Amino acid sequence: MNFTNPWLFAAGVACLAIPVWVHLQHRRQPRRVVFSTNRFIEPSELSTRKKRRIQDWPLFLLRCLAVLFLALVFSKVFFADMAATPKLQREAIALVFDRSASMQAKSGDKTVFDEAKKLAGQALDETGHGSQVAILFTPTNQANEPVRWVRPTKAKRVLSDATASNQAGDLAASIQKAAHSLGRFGADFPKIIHVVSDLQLSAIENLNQLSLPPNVALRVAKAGELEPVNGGFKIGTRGQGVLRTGVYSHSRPSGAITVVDAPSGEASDERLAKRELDTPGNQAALTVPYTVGNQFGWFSRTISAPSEDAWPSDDQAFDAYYVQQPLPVLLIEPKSTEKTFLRKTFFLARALSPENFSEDIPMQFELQQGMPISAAADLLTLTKPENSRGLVVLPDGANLSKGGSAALKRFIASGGGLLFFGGPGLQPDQINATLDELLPVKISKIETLESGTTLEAVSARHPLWGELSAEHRRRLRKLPLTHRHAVSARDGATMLASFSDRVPFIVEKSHEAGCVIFVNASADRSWGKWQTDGALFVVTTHLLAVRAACQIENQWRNATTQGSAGQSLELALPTNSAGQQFELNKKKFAANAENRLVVNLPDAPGVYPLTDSQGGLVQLIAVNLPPEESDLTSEQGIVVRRQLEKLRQSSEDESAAFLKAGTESESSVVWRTMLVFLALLLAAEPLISNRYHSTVTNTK
Amino acid sequence: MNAPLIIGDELLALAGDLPLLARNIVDGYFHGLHRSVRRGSSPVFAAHRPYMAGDPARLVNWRVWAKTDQLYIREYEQETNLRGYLYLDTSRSMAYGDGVQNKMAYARLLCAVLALLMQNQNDAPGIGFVGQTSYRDRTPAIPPSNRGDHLHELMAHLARTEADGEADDLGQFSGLLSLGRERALSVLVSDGYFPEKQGCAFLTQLNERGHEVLFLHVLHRDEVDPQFEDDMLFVDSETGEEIEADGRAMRAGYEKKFSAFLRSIESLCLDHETAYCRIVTDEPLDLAMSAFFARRAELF
Repeated sequence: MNFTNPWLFAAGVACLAIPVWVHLQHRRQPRRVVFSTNRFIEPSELSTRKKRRIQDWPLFLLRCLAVLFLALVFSKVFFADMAATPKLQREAIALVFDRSASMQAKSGDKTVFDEAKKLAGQALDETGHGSQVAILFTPTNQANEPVRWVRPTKAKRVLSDATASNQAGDLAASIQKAAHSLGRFGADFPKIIHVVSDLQLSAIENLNQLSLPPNVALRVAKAGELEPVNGGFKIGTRGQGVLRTGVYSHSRPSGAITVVDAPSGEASDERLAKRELDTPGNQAALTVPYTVGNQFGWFSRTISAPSEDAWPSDDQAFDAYYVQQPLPVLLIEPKSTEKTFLRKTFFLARALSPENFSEDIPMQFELQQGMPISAAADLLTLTKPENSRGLVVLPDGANLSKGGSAALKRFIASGGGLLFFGGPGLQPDQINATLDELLPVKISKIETLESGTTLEAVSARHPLWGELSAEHRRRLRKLPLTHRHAVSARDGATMLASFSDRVPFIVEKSHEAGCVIFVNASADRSWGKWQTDGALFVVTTHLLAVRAACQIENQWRNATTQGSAGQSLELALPTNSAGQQFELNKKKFAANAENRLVVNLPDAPGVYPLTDSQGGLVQLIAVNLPPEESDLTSEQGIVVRRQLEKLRQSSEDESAAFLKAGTESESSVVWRTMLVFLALLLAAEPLISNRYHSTVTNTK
Repeated sequence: MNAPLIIGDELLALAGDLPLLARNIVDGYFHGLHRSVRRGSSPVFAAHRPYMAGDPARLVNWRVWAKTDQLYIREYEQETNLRGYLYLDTSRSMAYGDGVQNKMAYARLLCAVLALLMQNQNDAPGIGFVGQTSYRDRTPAIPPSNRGDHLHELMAHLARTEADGEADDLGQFSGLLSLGRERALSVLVSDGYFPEKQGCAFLTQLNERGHEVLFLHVLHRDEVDPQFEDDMLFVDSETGEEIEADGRAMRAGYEKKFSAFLRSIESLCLDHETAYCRIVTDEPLDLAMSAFFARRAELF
């Protein structure tokens, strides 16, 4: 025996105290007689003032049973194993449940997915025990997954076990599938398609073309939060020559959501009417048009970047869930000066400023100016606990103290980056002594560059500048420098760029979790004017900063292939790869005869190596969230809460169906009302009885 | 005496015509009886009887002697000057009872019957209503009279009388009593719920006037033997006092007190040479009428 509303049953059981109280406390009014004289009558305690005698116990038990029965009825007691479940509020509900990747967005303390499960659970709670429920997850767990109709209690268990997917959903297809599956139920079964989704733009775009049978009601539950500037979406019903639409929108700035009814078709905020949409009786079809956002765009959300998530440089909109955390950068100025443009870090600050945000490399920097003397303290506050990334830019002349050097070493060891520039102020002996093994090069004297000295040719596969355009790369070679250090690369260092005479220009070396990059040029104009070349200095500074500070992101930059989570990807392999075994995420795949390899990408975003049978790295594959789930722009400040909107169609056929269902429901209401009346009658029986007996006996 | 008289609903329906009802009852009561037992000097001839020594010679019917040579004495019905006073208690306690057994209805009929009896016996019936503090809207008493229409007037007053007495006792009864000493019969019809002192005073005054007194104690069956079953709220008809009591539990105490009350009434009557007759309203009127005649006979 189960209870849909166990608390209601508990309250009903508590109500058993009422008949007990009535029997123990209620006093029957004595029969009134105008007697000749009272001189012979002695007052005595009335029998009803005493405790109930045994002959009243049947009445007492009857009252208790009535109250208990009422409690059982209203708590919706049901027996799971009973074959004949009372058909109360019988419905067929196709629950289209969105578990796409966008549902993982945060909504307050929980995720949108959790909120959607709660909404769906409420809908299942409201339906009767005789209802049939089918949950259609989108995306589905399996391809061509059949629709299974179960009882609401089992559907709730299925729903509670559901998890969010990293793939894209297709609400339109699921709704059509739900409508098709609802055809198995007869006309006497109210049919409802209940959509629970965050109603992301990409998921409901196709709803413009969706038509539903006339006897199917549509309920839409919006999970997640709306942005204040959101324009809402439109639900319309199209009849024979009549179009009625409702706009699911909200008014700013209160954030209250209202639905308007625009009989003429296009809805506008000025024609607010009501939430429920009345449709003409000769309803032919239900159309759900969709206009969203208008000039304001659609939903947005904030979500913390998972550790394995990343930022693909070539597709900003590839991952909607990635929210750029500004990279903290500490610019250490060797000497203070009132003239800003004379600072060593002047051009670096300009290059890393938000105004110079590069569309190609959209990394935000959070600049912080510091002095060598306070470097140790600045480094302690540079990074935040939730984000260990950080970058220290050290121009020439910024000679750190021992304490500052030690703090810098710890910073780099913990994953920080150091961008280290040469220059006339650099004292090689001191730098070598303080930083020593951190440096990727051994620095010695200053050399004068001959006129026309250029960099080595930069190809498209260049690790640093390879993704730049060819024109851009050609301009890099004209390096306007006059001096350089005579340096030699240390062991373990990687030369990213060099002068045409093979002298290192940019050298990189990793230290534990961190990275140090040395640029063999001055950060200011003392050794030339390359800082004024935006195409060279700004881009290079960006790339170096990201490279030095973001080791994880660099993996993505090294990835040569990308795809969506859970999808199949066809890779082109070198010749003679046919038949060879490859491994991706512990799954083995074989190349076909055309030297192509079809792999199923993992369900979780991340960077996955594709290895051959000997374990050799073939390429890195970046697995992202589906583009359908990321056609959004990141916005801050979500203030509007979700609302639930229902749309019920009322065609003639549907009216008949609902009328029949309503008859059951009404009979149930009548039955329950009669029970209530019976209970009240029983409880009031002493009062009624006394009133009957207390009629004054006028003996005249 | 013939079969007991039973007062039914059909008779009570005629209560508005008390004279007719009383006459029916009286005619039934005297059916087969001699109308008079006393012989006197009235002009109304009664019978002849043989002469006996000592009879006055003036009573001999000489015409019969001349024809038959036998001495017969002529006897005539005796005319009396008895005054009959009926005192009806109109206090609210007399209103108890339903229908036939209502004490006031019963007492009213009883008075009508007694008045008619007195009239038939050549007595002069009168009536007084006790239990009133004032008689502004009611004639307090109708003095005894032998007029032909007197009985009709008495019956009319009696029919209009209700148990609505303002006093919870016998009230201002002094004005109702005759002033002179005369041979009279006073009948008090009451339930006896008056203070003993007042009853004593009432009877004493009647005794002092030389009245033969008969107390017809009218009671309801509920008063004699209460059979209430439920929880009851008893409202005193005269004082308005309310008492809650269990119908079953109250019986023992009630019976004890009521018995004491009856004894006190009987003692009161005995002390004042008053004949006492207890009548329950579910009983016939014969008992009261017999008591009346027995008491009247003591006057002669």
